[in-house]
Amino acid sequence: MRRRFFMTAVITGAFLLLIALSAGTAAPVTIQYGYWGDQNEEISTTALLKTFMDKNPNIKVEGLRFGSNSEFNDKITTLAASGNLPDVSTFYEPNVLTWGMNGQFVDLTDFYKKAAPKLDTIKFVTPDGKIVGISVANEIMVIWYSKTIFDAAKLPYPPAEASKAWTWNQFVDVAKKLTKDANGKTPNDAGFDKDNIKTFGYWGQQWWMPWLTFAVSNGGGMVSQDGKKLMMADPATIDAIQKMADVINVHHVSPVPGSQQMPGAIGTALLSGQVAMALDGTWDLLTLGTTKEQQGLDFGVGVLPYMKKLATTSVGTPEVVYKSTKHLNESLALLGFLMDPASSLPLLQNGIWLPNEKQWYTNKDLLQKWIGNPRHPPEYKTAVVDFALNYSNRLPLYYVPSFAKMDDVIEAALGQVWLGQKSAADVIKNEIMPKITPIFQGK
Amino acid sequence: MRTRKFHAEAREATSGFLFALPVILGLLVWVIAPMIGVLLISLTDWNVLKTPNWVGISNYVKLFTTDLYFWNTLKVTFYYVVLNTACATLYSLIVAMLLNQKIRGRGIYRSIFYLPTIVPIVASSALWLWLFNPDFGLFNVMLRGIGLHKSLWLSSQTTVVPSIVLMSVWGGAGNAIVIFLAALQGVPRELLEAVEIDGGNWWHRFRAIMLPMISPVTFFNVVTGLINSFAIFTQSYVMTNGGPNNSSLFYVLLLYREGFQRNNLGGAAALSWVLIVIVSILSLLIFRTSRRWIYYEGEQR
Repeated sequence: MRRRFFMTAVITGAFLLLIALSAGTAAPVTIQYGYWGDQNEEISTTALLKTFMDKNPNIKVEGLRFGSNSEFNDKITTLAASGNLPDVSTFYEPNVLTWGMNGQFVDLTDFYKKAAPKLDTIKFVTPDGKIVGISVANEIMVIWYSKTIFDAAKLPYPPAEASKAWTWNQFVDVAKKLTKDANGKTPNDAGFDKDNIKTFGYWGQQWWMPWLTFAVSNGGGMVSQDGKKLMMADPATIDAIQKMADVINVHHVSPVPGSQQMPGAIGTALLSGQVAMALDGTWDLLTLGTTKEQQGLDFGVGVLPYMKKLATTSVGTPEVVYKSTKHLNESLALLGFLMDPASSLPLLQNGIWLPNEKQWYTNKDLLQKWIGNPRHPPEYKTAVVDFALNYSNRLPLYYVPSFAKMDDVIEAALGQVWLGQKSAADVIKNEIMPKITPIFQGK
Repeated sequence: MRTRKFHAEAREATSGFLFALPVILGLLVWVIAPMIGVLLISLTDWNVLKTPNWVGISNYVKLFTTDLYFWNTLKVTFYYVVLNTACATLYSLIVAMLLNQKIRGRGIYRSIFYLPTIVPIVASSALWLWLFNPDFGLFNVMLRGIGLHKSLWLSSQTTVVPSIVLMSVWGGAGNAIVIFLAALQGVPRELLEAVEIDGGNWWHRFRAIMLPMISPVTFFNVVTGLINSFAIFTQSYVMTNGGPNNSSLFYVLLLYREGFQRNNLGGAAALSWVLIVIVSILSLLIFRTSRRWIYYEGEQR
């Protein structure tokens, strides 16, 4: 009996000692970082997180990958409902402001006051002035073009400097000269067969970024920069959209909008001569660069044409910190690391991202770090870097919470305009405005 | 009186119940409970981000009165359901009849016609997107090749639903074909021969014997086809995003968008229950009218 008591006491004592010892050492804090992407992005993000963990030994980061931004949407909603949100994550842009206004994100205004200045065009600001996220990259719209097609037509390349930018009409003229039907005729020739076009002058898209960019270029827009006035029915906006639709249906230099475009299609389209130019985002450099290296595509980049004033717009997914995080300081440390362009240098160098900080556009040494490689064409500095710095505009995505709901209505209704069935004035005034006005006013 | 027989019966009943318990529990936990949960959510204004408040039937009222998309979505979905069910049933019946003949390589043909069913919808949507491309897609190349005008396929409001039906019939008819085939093989040979002896041709054989004999299976395929058609989602999600101008904004796509992209879970839950009611009513109607045209072997008529 005594022996048993003695053994129990020893074991209990050893046990308690063990607990006391382990409590003495600090356990590392674990935080979760959510992001979406394919396998390649998983590899690069995991490497990024490892670099962070090497620099911060007391913070452990678990990467939580979602398959795509739409999958992100389902899952983050479910995680919110079950109370299992990550600590930091990228976020589906159209919902950033609604989530921010519902108190889901940490107010990062003070955090960013202490960091290096970020570009103003990519800050997500709620109507009461809180910064809930800043885009981790700055993507603008440019002209990508096939040098091969321009050489064959003996035409000068699209300008790579803002001072030499084409007007919209000059741009359409060039597109007309490059559009060829099955018999080699252009829209300027008699007997042009618009149903049998082999090469299109340019390929545009019809989501909100392109038409908003040209609306701004024409002096219009969707919502005024102070967030107070709906500008969708301004004559300048209507005119811009009509011009973009006429390119398809009147001038026949652009294809009828196919539904959802496939990723990577721009490389194939330029290489196979389906289109001579494409108005698309700077993220395409990754695809185009790869197509050049693997299949010999000879491409170039130029500044956008302008309607009344030089303009482009910016997009980029933000990094947000969830209010539900239990480790705010560690999360902010991760945020600072991710938002620093120096951390994502590989992504800047492979062409998919542009930096979010002004100094990376102006400081020669920093510039050399990310555009001084064969992936970036020589004209990239003037056509993209300078153009982004001087002429980019902030999209309503960043300051209008009802943007997504309004765009549901707009995208659907404008479909008729792109197909040439109705005029932009008719659709915008009679179908769009009555529906988006109550949404904008928050009813 | 507690006889031995009573105990034996009681034991049998208990073990029977226990064997059925997993299924009953599964039904309760994974089907009934979530359905009740969704019903409760539909009575709130929950948007995941804040605590929900009871709003009674206001989500339902909003759907039927002020919602911008509901009525259009119903119209578009019904159009698709009717077109798809009709085409799919006809197609699978014709193919089943062709595959029922004594030809060489019958097994290979049967496998080929079943293959599309196992192709993942997302992958085939990506492929069909290219096929449907108005300028460079294969279909328009073929149309132009035989001298016809090109079609806009997914890019036009009038042709988008028929295009999606084309794709759905190709990809989804495999199961119906197999079931029709089994039914056709169950048609008694002597009845078919009787028609031949009486001087009838294949049309008489088909109309008088085959069609009535397989009518229970036709009924099954129509009902399941209808119910499955209502669930159309992936094709419009991947290929058209509901466009152009909401002419392919199918019911489940709207539901998904409302719930997961616009965070309006109360409204999405209301949409779910309205769909349940619609499909139930439709199935009931078909069951009621089925007695007129379904012939079960052995019945006297």
